[in-house]
Amino acid sequence: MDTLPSINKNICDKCKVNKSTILIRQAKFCTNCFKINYTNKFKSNLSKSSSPVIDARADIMAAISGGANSISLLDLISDFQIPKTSSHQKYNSLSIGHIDESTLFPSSDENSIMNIIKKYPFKSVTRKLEEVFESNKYNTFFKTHKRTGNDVTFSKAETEDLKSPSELLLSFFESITSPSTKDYMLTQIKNFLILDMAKELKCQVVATGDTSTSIANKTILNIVEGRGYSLPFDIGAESSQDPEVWILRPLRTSTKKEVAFYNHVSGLESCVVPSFSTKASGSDNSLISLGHLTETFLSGLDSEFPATVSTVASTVSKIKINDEIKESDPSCLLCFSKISKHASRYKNEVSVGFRDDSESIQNHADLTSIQTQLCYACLANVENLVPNTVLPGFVSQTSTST
Amino acid sequence: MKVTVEFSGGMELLFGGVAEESIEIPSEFDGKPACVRNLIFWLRENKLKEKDDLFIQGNTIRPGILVLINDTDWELEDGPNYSLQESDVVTFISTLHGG
Repeated sequence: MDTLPSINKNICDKCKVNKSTILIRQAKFCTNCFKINYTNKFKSNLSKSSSPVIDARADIMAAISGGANSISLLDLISDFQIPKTSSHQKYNSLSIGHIDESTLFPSSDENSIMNIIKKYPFKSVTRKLEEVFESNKYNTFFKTHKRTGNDVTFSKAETEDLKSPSELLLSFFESITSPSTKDYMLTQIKNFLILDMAKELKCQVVATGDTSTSIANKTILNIVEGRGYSLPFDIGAESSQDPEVWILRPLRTSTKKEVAFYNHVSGLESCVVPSFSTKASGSDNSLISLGHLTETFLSGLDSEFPATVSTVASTVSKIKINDEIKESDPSCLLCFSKISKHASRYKNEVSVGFRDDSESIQNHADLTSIQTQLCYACLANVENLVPNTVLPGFVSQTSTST
Repeated sequence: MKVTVEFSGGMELLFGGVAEESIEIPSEFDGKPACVRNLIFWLRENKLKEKDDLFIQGNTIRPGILVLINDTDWELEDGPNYSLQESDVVTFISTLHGG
């Protein structure tokens, strides 16, 4: 009898036959049972949706960066689309949307990413980050201006003075003083481009590769950044912040460990998607962003208490959209989330502000006050840009002049 | 003792872009059979091209790096105390964003 526990020690908890190869939250799985479990969770998340468009067999775009999460997403989602006559086919069509970040991160291996994407028989669109600075796409551009009285203001950039889109992109990020704001702005530009690509491809649904690990990280990060109001939109199981495009996160119940293991045992090739914090070490403060610190903190906590990530992600999935939020509420110029009517007042109350009425916005006809046109987190982050920084073109598209 | 190490998910950036390498390590460390912890510190001394804290934290691997021994999660194989065997394949996969 004494030998029985040792015999069973490494047997799969599911099939009770094969040797286990992966430990997920104290449960042991063999490779075969793990793959079945991983695929079933994905399938269930892809199907369970409260979106009316999904029931009507919508067109879907998978947002693919080339990293491990999105390659796993692409592999799984393509299984439901190939062959095209399959009864499992969930969507009318599947397209791939990719953002080329090589101008900002020259180490990004675009050729390898494109080679992976080309292996799949789906329509694909690639956008470059610098497209948000193209003057033939946007009529006007805002640039940051020093605080005027109590107002955060933008002025109009003269289009004839503008540099090339690539130079504007690079100087935009160079003019950001905080590594956290760099990450924040990059996220907003990518979110905009993903939605824009989906609209170009006429897709009503976008699937992203957010895992429970990234959702837990984003939850903590967003709260720290002051994005609590828009939390359900940013990390919810599915969200409809943009009325035209529904966001789905079908990997939301799998951890990054599961993604890494699935990709490894399935022989899926992925690329390293560089970020501002790539290779940033703890002793390198100039590169350490809130996002990087949050990830380090949570992964450390999760290694000691293995349910941390899943508990945070599962808790946040229950967060409901605030009853206060109405369709008609104004949206933030930068991140397009709804603006809390208390944001601007709260910002002024907690800020070490100054009141200089002689510098009032009324005295500057060329300036636009964006104090009430940005959400709380964007307002805080915009203040980390040095004056005279040209902003992405989409920021000026929906602004109302003061 | 000959073992193969694999790096992916951004780990290869810490080892000069090498994704797979067959290495020869001592079969004993301090009179005891070589274990994965010995391999990790051997890699730090001999192969790591970036700062230590990107690979090691305390006396083990940095949290967020998945270690597989012959395609099996090292948590099922005694973790850092697993005694290495000839021709073992040890895989390091970073699950941290951007490597």
